[in-house]
Amino acid sequence: MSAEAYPAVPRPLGAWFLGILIVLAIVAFSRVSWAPDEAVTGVAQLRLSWRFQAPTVQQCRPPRPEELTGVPTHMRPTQICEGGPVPFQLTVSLDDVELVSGPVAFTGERALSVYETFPVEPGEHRLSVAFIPVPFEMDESGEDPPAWRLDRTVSFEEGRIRLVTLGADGLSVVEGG
Amino acid sequence: MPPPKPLAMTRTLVRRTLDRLDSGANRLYGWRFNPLYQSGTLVVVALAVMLVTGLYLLLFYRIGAPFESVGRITDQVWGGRWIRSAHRYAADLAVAAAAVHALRMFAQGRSWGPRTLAWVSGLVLVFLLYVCGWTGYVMIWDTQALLLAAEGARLLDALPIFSAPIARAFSGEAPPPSAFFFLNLFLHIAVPIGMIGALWLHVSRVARPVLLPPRGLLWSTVGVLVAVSVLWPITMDPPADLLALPGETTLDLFYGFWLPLARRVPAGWVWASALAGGAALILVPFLTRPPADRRPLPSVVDARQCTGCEQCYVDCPYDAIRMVPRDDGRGYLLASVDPALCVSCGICAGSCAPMGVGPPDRNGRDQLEAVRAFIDRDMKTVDGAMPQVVVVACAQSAFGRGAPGGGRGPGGLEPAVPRFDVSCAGNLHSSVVEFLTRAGAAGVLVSACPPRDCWNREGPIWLRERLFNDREAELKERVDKRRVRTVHAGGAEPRAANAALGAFRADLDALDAPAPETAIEMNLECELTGPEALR
Repeated sequence: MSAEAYPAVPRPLGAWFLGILIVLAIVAFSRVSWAPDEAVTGVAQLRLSWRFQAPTVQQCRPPRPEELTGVPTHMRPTQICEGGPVPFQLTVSLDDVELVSGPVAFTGERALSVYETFPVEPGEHRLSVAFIPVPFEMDESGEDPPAWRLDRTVSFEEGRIRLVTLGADGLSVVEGG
Repeated sequence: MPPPKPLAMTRTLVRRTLDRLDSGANRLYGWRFNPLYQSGTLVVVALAVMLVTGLYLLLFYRIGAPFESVGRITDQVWGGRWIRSAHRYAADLAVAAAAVHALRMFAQGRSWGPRTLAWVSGLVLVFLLYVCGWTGYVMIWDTQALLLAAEGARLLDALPIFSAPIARAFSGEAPPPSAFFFLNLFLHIAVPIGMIGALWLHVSRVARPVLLPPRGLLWSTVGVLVAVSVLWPITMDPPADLLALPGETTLDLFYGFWLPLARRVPAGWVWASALAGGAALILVPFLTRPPADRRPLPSVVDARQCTGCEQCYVDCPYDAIRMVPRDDGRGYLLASVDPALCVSCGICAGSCAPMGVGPPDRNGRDQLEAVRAFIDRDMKTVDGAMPQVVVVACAQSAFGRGAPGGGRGPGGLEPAVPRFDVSCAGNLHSSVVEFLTRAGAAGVLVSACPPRDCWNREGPIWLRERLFNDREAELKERVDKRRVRTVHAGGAEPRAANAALGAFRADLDALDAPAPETAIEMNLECELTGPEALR
């Protein structure tokens, strides 16, 4: 014979009550109200985001005979080119205070990606953005690579993001942002 | 290397806490329906609810208009709001139940040796559950979704693996591409399929995995989930606005508990914390492993005693025993223990009538030797009379040496009651009970863990079958079974165990006084004679 310490469900009412209480706790924890820091501090944000395929500058020349030694005929290049994409520099200032200034990092020969965010006090601010090529020693083509500048007063609303992006018309602030 | 002291202290703390919670829940639910014991199976129930409700929700979800389609599901589709709520609450239940399950395995030391695979695959399951939760929340594409997506992008951008920042996808230049929502949906569907594989791995070392709770608890859980979904359906936050800073929103703490903290620190810190936490969890099997000289040894088979009956092979909860051909010409199979799978529970020792298998020092013959010494040492009272009741205690039960105060602390077993210790109720050989009754004990009370909380899975179940239902190695008919009783009570339930002891004593009073035998000869079944004899 076996003596069970308890019957199958010793206190069904209590069992249901506790069960429902546990599930209600799960419900409560699953929908906790939360205000992220940005919502509490009442700031705005300046965001810069674009992708840009930098022009490539190359110097090409015919291969020297010693460079073709041992290379099979069908693999011999007619030209050897050196160079690469033009490096660009990003400078951002707000009310003449420089927020960032430096080259935009390359990843191989892929397009340049710019993604920067800065907290900003709500209100009107003088915004200056410059996305300009860095002088490039191989650039002997005589053609100036493109350069973009933005210099204007921008109104920042609390809780909103002002987005600066680069499009066909150059740098612009997305309206409605 | 012994487990580090802080870890051992944490384990003790978790164990005592769980013991107390178990005790309270047992008082309400009984051990059969105690949801804390069923935490693992409740995860499976929650996953099943998620699967069924998820299939329904999938019919109406559109990757081209995620927020709008979820809004339509919530407001227009029949039962959509409730089914969405049940889907969410089941996901939360899965996390909560998985946490309890993991804590129990950690506290009970069921995480190392052959159980390492279950521990590690359990961690993989939790990780996949979180991936599912993350993708599920992003699918809605409301404020909380944007927060999770943006934070995920920030963390991934900190890794040197992407050529362009992923965060640009949520910069506001353009709506996130449909490909993002397609990939998200794909993961949300594919990961659960991966979870089925991980679940199979999780229980693969167990002979008889229990995947579902008792029917009553199963349907009660589903019913309560449906009820709260109807009474407190989930709401929707405002749609994700890529050009707005996150305002006040709702947060599911089960899946997003890390978000408020993570957003305040550099991504590198988040990765470092996650890696450190993950590594600590992965290392639990190695950190909780006892030192080599205290590690319980796997069972061994005495080939001379094995009759090939296959009972140990059937009873082993971990499929650690195989039956192999013999090489000594006898016409039957031989049990063979795989040490890599054996957790040293000793349940095979209790199943073997000829006492030919079991962990070193814990097989049936070892137990008989120990009980002889126990009778001489502990059972005689001062006046020479035999005690009324002898307790045989599983180490983890209310009267066991692993309970608070070694089972004899305040409120525990009275000091005057002799106690014969076994590592697990399933390890106990029925011959020990027979021996005690024949030696003059008026009654034998076996103190075992609640069956759903056996540290070795099936010990109390096989014990009852062997003592009362003629399962091999059964308690012989010559033993008056009115003098034998089992009580299932966990470490924090000495009161319940003492109540059972008191009731047993009262019942024994109605029986005649036992007639002790002086020179007890146990008839060891199937014992071989001649040169093959053991001793």
